Amino acid sequence: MNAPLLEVRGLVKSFGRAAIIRGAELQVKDGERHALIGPNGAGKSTLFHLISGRIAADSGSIVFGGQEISGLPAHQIARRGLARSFQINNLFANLSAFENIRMATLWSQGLHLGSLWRLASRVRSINERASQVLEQLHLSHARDLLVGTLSYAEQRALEIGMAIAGDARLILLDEPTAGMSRSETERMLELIRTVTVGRSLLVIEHDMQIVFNLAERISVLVYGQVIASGTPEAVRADARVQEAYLGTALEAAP
Amino acid sequence: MKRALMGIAAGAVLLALMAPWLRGGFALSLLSQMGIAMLFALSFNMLFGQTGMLSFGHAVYFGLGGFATIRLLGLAQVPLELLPLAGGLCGLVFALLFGVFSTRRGGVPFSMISLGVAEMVITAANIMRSVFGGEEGLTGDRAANGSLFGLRYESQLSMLLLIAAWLALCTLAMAWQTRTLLGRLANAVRDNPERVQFLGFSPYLLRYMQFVIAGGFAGIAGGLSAMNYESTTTEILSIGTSANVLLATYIGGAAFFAGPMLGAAVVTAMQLLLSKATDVWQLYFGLLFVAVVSFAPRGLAGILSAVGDAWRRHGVRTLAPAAAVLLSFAAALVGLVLLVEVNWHFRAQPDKPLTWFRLVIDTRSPVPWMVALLLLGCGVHALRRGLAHWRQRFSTGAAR
Repeated sequence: MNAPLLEVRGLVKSFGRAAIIRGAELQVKDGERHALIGPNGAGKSTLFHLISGRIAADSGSIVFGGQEISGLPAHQIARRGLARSFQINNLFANLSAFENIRMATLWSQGLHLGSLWRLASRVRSINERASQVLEQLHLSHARDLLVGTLSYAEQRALEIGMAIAGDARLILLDEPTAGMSRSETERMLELIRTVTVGRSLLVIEHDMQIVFNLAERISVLVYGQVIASGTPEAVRADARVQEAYLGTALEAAP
Repeated sequence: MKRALMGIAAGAVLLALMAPWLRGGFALSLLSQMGIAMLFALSFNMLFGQTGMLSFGHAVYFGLGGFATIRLLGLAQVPLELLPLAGGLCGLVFALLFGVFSTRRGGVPFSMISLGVAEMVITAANIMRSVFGGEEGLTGDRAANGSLFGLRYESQLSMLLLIAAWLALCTLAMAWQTRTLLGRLANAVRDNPERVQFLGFSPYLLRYMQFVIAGGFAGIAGGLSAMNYESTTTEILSIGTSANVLLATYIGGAAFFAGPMLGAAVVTAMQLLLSKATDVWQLYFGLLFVAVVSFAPRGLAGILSAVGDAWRRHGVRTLAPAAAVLLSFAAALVGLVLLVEVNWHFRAQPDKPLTWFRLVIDTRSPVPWMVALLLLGCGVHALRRGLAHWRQRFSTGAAR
């Protein structure tokens, strides 16, 4: 149970001469909710891109479920049970909300390349799962609307839905509640808590209240390196973290 | 499936409407060419509208299918009804081959590679005279082929019926395909290939699968074309053929399943009928394309769907505004055509009067010019006001 599901070791990524990730180390245990925090420009989203295979690392290793995934294409990483959401909505704008979620359920429901000839409406498992996720997102009313016509908050919810619909072992959420109202945020946090039971979650979040509420463990990324990792209390007490944050944000949190 | 059946029905109605107007051999050969163009355009739209892949070389698979078929045309052992399968198989095999490197990326790289492949195949075909028959091409005799039902396909009518049967069959298959998981994933790739990756599917593989299937259907269309003309030249592979199917699909409306069929019917009719009526038909063809791209980006099917929506929601109240728009459009069109024809005639042969729909016009007199300009000006003005009025009353915002 306590073996790390995800282990990042000595990860390095530069864009031209700009070193963004400089030997990052990170461990996410099986079944834990883990938050990744850090000041703007620390490389949090880049680290997500590296883990999920959107971009390739220069060096270092990423082990997921006991296997090296660094260098694999994104779809092969996704097949191993790693799902993610994006900081900026990244959906299928000309498909309905239902279709967006349904596409996200395929692989986990066993519909791989050999079964793609089946009629989408006839595969009960994916239709039931997609309806269920839409209901959890409170988006049943938008089921048949094109995603491009939905409000920002609705699209934001759908973005989270795409990540959770596939029953992944590890879910990466990049600022899931950005731009949501207070009440929407509350509801989404509740949903995230519900659906990640028995799974692992790695979440980037700026709102410290949310972070301390949601996460069992926190890692702090500063200039491409994880400077501290541990329970919320331990991280809050860490001198280097306090220095990086100049005390302000952390003291404001409850 | 319902939409596909509606598409077939719409096609049948369109053909039936045109049939009495055009009699005899010409009508039959027009309808045959329409059917082939419809099938070709549908296969093109599996890439363009469905997967977001703009190919500039789809005629390669159409043409190679045609050449494979013409090789078997006239062989008594081969039943003619099944001959398009040879074309389909050939298109499929070459799509399987070329798709490996051309579908690796979507967007502009795919378009550029499709153009490169087309140039390569055209050049190769022109060099390999023994295979492709050089400039004269290859010919065959379809009446010499065997038949599953003991028929001989000598007449154009019998060929038309065979085309219609294959068109119906392939249309149903392609409509079914759009509703499969692969069809839906293709839509997802069109909208956002990157996100598809994070759902566990390789956009490359999905593009490749679509490409191979589309190549197969293009090959069937090419096979029917070879059977219809009983001859095939390398012209069938040309960039011009590829451009034609793109224009037809766009004019018809790539976002609708039946859009490409509508576009193919209209474009084929224009090519055959308009070229008889006027020397400058390509000018009108170009104007139509520009007008559709500029004012109705969802194509003719998009216009029909917007009008249909308005009719369902507002009923007969849409009739008068629709008639006003149609009338002003007609006035503008007549003005434009008159202007073009008078101008063309004036430059070509000013001494002879122009006969236009039984009207005898002296193109040296200023009167026809004034009338044309007046019609065009008033028509365009009325059209703009009419459309503004229409939008204000009936548009849902997203439509048009």
